[in-house]
Amino acid sequence: MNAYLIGIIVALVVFITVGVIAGRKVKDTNDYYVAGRRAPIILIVGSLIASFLSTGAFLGDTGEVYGGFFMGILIVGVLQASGYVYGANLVGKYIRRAQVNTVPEYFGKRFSSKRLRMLASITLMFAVTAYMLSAMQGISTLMNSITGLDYKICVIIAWLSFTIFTVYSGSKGVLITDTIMFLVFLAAALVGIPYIVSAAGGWDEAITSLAQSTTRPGIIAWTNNLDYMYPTGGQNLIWAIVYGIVWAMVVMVSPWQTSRYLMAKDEHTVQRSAIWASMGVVTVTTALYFSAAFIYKINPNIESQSTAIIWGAMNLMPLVIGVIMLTGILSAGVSSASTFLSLIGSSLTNDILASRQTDDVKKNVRIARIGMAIVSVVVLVLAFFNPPQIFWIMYFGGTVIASAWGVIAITSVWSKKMSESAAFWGMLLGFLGCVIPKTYSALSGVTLPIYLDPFFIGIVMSIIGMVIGNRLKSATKADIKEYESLHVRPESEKDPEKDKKTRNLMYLYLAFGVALGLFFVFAYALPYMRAMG
Amino acid sequence: MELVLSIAFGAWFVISALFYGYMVRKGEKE
Repeated sequence: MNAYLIGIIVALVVFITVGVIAGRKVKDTNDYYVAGRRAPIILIVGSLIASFLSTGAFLGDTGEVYGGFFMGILIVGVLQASGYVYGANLVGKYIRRAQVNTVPEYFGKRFSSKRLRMLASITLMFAVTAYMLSAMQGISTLMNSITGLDYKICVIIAWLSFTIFTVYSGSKGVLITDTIMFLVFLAAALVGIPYIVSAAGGWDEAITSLAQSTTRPGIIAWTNNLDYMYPTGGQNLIWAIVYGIVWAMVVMVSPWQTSRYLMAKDEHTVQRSAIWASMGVVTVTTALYFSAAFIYKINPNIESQSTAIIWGAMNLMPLVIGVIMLTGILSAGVSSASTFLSLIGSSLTNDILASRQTDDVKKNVRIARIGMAIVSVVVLVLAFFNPPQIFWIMYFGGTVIASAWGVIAITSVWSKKMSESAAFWGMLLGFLGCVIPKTYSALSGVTLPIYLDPFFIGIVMSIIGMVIGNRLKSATKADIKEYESLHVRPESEKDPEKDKKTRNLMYLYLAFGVALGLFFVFAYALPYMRAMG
Repeated sequence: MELVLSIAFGAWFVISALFYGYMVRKGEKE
């Protein structure tokens, strides 16, 4: 038993215990799916961030920075974090207003359409399963590399760590465990920095040395290292802006983000939590990116770039800080996986098997738990046997949902003229428009140019599908009525005191934006320019 | 260019804050 393994086991036992205790309060499916729709801001913020950041951010993105792509990843990080403000105000608040249990149910209700609800549910399952398998792989690989346990055993521990409380407690458990795990990985991203900076010889020294790096030139320049992705700074910049928009769209419309808003106790909570989540995400990711760059300055010879942060945690800091850091990275993975599982399970019982609902409240909860358990066993089998036929699904990751749902979700809230067939064909063509080029590119080994990115093709196809769909059938009276009811503010929201508090949060966010700009100018740009003379 | 991007990061958050303020006020009138 090493200290890292003990730390991880203690953390997982705490997560599972807290998650299961929360489940004892589950009385009906409303509790199970949306935590009774009375969650306060801390739980919404915690779950938003915990569900968004996983091992992909902690190990994948930091690996790219270590590999020489600091500015590219930083641009994506800043753009994606701003997505919260747009998502909550353009989509999230309104989906919550529809008082549904799942996001596919919102689409079905908005256009009185079973086939649209089914399509939304199937695209959700595809994208979320893809993302979940990569999160599980990330957790298992991390656990395997720090504990030395066999990979297959790590898969089972990883699976147990989020399945038990998610199946038993549903969203009521996930909200609380997500928030605790968020606090652990927030600490993980921040506590190691002083040790990493001092090992790098101090902040200015680290920036100077990286700016003048001859082994990986351009690692922190605006161009990025030109051997890493594209051969020119301009192409790398365009890539970063495109992927920043893709991930901002994921923050705005993906089910693992918008579903959190369904559980908020009121609309003020939705709007306020978006501000805090935005500030939280950019703080965590910026800390990680600088850490990864500094680790390159300390040790440029780490073989696998996605283990750079792990190497830092195990070699640059006191044991207890290292344990917190590695436990935090693991928590980021586990908290995303628990949300993914609850999304698939909820959508299976709430959307696909909607007709199975009975008048018996307890029986409904039992059906929901059985559905969740079945989904979790399927996921375990996929992750454990890792069949190559299924493995390719991970390649799609989470971004396919931005193509399939992005245009449709925003338009459904803001267009009175949109019809059911516009939503259906827009979603279907958006999904296929992303998946088919991605599959082609993976199978043929052809890298598509940036302007033919599968995300773009998906978005364009989604718009084409929407326009054609509206020609086939125009909005019915029922559609227009649903649209209008989305734009009526509930009486319960009207409270001058709360309005003022929600409004005033703008000033905090403004100040944060100014501080963020000043931080980059004084901690990065000016030292960089001095180093380059 | 590094300086321009650094300022742009802050500016983008400031723009997002103004968007938030606009949408919150608009939402109060719904």
